[in-house]
Amino acid sequence: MRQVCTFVGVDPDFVERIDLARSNKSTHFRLAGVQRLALSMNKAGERFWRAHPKLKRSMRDLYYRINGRPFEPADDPETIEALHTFYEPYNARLADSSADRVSRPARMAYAPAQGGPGMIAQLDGDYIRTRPSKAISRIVTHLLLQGRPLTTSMRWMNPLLMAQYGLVKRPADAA
Amino acid sequence: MPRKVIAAIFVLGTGRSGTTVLGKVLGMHRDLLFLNEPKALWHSACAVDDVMGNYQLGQACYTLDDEAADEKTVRAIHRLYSYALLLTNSGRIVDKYPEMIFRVPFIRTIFPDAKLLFLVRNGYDALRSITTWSEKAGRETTQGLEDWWGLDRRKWNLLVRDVVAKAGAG
Repeated sequence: MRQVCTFVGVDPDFVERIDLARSNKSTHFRLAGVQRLALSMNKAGERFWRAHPKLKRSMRDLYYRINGRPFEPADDPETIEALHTFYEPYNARLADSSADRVSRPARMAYAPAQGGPGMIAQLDGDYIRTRPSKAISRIVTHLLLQGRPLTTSMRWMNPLLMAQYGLVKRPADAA
Repeated sequence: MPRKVIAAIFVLGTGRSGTTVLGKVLGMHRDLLFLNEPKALWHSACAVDDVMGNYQLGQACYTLDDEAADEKTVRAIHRLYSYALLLTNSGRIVDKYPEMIFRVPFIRTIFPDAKLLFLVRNGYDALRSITTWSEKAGRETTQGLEDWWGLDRRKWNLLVRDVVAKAGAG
């Protein structure tokens, strides 16, 4: 994360105060039945686990110790060669089009930060506790800058949003 | 007083690869404003941006090159970004919009000093996550099924038409 901050040109020290525990990492397991049971427990108790992240983390660490197996990436040379060959032109095109502005591929652990049911503007308790002032900015952004899909009940906001954008853009259009 | 848009940061990659969490973490920095898939804003500046069908069901393009970034579009998006910065008293934008991975020349023309972050996640995990997302959050609407692939698989169809077909032809 510090490397990412340095690359984009922001002070990396702020990430020290954020809990960036790894979650939902790729792993193998020993017993498939136990894995299925654990997944169904996780799914059934999603709301509970979201409310008790520390308990979830402890339970998950314990589970990995019992049924986890280190993740082994494919090491079959033939497969790797085939994948390299297949993706080479696409990667070359991406590298060419983005020149020196693309960071080296960054692998991020998947933290429990997804917008869940009832979560507004991707805000959860941890975010609000860590950065209350930024939470306000997130809500303002969510209300005044982000639209709603055509199929949702809040889609009535879209014409207002577009009218607001129209006013902001107007000098550009008139020029 | 308009704010100049300096070194906007774009978080790109396949959806379900951790782009949201990276954008959220960066958005915790005091100077950075996190825009989570500001599709309305981009649609307002560039009408063919809306591959999801969130704002219109007309023509849309998955890939956009430098020619799509005409003078009017560039001015519009700069004004809208500037407004967002002013509204939230922020210094720089973090725009997380995974589909922009197919529009790098478009972004570079609009923001020559942009910083692009490209996330890679294990492909199997990303696909499984997309499937799980669609199973959990997908729903039938009066206009058809809406899931990760958009309304009535609009995003998928555009992806096949614009990206897969062109890659095959190239």
